[in-house]
Amino acid sequence: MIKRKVFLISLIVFGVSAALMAQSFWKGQTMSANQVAEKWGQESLDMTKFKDGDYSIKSKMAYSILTDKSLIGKNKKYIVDNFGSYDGFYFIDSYPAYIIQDQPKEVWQIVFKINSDRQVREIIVHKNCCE
Amino acid sequence: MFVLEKYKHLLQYFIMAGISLLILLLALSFQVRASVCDDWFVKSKISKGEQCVSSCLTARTDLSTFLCPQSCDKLCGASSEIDHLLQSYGLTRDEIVFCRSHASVCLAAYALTWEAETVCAGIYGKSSKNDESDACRHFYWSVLLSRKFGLKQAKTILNAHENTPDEPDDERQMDLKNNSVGMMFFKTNPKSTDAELLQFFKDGLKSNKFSILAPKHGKNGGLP
Repeated sequence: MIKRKVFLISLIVFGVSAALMAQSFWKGQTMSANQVAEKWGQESLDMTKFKDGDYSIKSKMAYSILTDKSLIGKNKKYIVDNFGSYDGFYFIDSYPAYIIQDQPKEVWQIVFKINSDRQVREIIVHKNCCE
Repeated sequence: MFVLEKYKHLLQYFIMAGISLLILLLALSFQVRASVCDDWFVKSKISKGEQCVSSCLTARTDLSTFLCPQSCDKLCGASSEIDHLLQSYGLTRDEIVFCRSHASVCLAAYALTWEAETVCAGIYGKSSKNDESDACRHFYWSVLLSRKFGLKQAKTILNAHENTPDEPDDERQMDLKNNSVGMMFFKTNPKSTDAELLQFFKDGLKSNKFSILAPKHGKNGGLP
């Protein structure tokens, strides 16, 4: 009985720690909002400017996008219509991913993770290249 | 620190294997429970509509179904936990239908997307859209799927993945074309090595076998 309990507890501990570790592994390298602000600043979001802008303009708005809760729940069409067609890639090709910095050995993108209803469920800043 | 760095990849593979197993067990347990509760829901003759949830919550249960009322909102909404799990990852409707009945194949198939992306990121570094790295991912994924599950099932998975209403038609056509190059390669080279696969991809770029809407490495035969 005790052995069974120990086994079950070990299994739960292993499961939880593996899930936490794998989550970060699967996600790859990401940046927190504070790190984004420190690296690229905190310019307020102007979607037209983002759509037409180069990487230096896009990266400055990354913080605003990341912290703008009103974008959560918006559908994919809204994102593509307002932010333009995307040039990055994350996990599956239906996630709109916009490259915001493209330098040798350091490519970053802002990713709108969507659900099957094609609505944004999470926004992350992810290192596209290179680990 | 050096030892940790040295075994980092091995550790990552172990973690992924552990997680895949956990997700599989979770998905299977959801499926078993969902199936028992679906039967219970039908046998209880609960009609879907305004009174569905209250009828469901008060319906008679036995030892095997006493937890089913916890799923009443989902049963009434014709949804299930596995659907919810799959939907949150942005899979297409066809993929959800496929994954519901082939949970283990589905998980293995998506583990292969990771493998394909790793190979292509190794070639191109940056993962982008509509360019050579995109063609690479589709080509590799289709070959890896065909190797593991055979052509028929690979085609089902690949087509389900492309059935998205919001993807521009030219992009879908590009993906389908590159998938078909992968499946054709497997058909003619079912026992190919990884080195042969890579060589075929490189040669294919030079001979324009792949569909690439926005080439970035045209001057260098499609390679960086």
